[in-house]
Amino acid sequence: MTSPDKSKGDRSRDEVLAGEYVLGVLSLQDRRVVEERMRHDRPFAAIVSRWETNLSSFNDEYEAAAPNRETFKQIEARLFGDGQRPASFSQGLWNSAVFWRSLSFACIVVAVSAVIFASGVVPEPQGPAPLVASLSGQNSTINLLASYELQSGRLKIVPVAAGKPEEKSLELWLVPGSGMTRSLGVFQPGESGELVIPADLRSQVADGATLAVSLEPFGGSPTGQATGPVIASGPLHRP
Amino acid sequence: MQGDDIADLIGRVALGDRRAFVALYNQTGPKLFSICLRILKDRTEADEALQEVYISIWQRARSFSVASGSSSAWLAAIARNRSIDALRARKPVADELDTVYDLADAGPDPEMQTVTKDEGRRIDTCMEELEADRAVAVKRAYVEGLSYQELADQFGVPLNTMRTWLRRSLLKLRECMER
Repeated sequence: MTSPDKSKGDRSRDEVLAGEYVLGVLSLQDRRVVEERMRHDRPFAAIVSRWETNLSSFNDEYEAAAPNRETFKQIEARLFGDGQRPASFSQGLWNSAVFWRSLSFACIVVAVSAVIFASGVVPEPQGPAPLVASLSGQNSTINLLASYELQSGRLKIVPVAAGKPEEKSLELWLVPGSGMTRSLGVFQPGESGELVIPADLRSQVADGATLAVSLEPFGGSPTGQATGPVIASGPLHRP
Repeated sequence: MQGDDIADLIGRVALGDRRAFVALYNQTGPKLFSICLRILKDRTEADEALQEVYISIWQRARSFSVASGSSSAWLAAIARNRSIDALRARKPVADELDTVYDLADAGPDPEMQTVTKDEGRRIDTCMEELEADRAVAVKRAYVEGLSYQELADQFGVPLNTMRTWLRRSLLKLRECMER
């Protein structure tokens, strides 16, 4: 336990450092140091976030200024490649971070299997740990925990705190590392929270993809893309 | 910018909706470009920064839904951070983290609570409690992205004096906001 004086000093120093970061007076290197600390020190990140909120009314000082006409085309070109067309499947796969991550993972599995085989230890007959995602949303009354079993393709959603029932449906979406968002199905209220992922989509449910839930008209989105607000989203990762 | 509309668009962008991305750019681009331009003071650099800002928005939209705070403040923070990074890379300033923080007589201890919440007072009210030139320095640092040295030059005070001005002002603001 630190003495009250030291604790007070550290606390004041953190407030000042976070404030200096948000004001923007720090050097580039110091900004990186602060950002690194924000990644590991949640209370400190909260102090920075509070300063950002507190000082955001200063943003009224910035009048609107029209960007160059070409700027948005350049942004799209940098993000999506040339032109407006979605990449063809083979290009999409080739450029897909998910694909390469899956491939790396497959290599690791092969390597681990090889080690286990060589050591003569026979592992328990169990599948790989399920992928899980904790889905939460801003001001959301619903939090969901998703877990996905790779082998069976069973995806389970557990509502952590459900809001009031409405004449709406919750629809689950898969946002791959690159490529189109795909519907994974509509949750039936009161059931086990399980969705079986269509076989052709299973390869895309992988580390690096994001799951999101949107509020849709009863029965699901009429368009095949999300039409209602996204109430929660979160990246898939291995726990 | 209507906060809820913008938040909704960011949510759609998180799902990879490119039409929502266009709409978001059309609604917020002029404001964010203004931020880049005001800090970088160079149209070419501001244009480059704006591209990176929207690339970052596309990539980080998913993290917004779990972040707290207003959508326009979130977007502005991305634009300010990107612009200040570019500015500091172009014109390096001295590292500060090694210097001793002279915070004596800084006033009462801020409360331990750090949860983001609606503050009891608005920042404008608390800015009025600062001495006038210090309030101007705080705001100018934020809006223009000025360094301590540039602020010291503009106000005609030694560098260390400017550091003390801003650091004590930050603590006074914090104390006022929590009062």
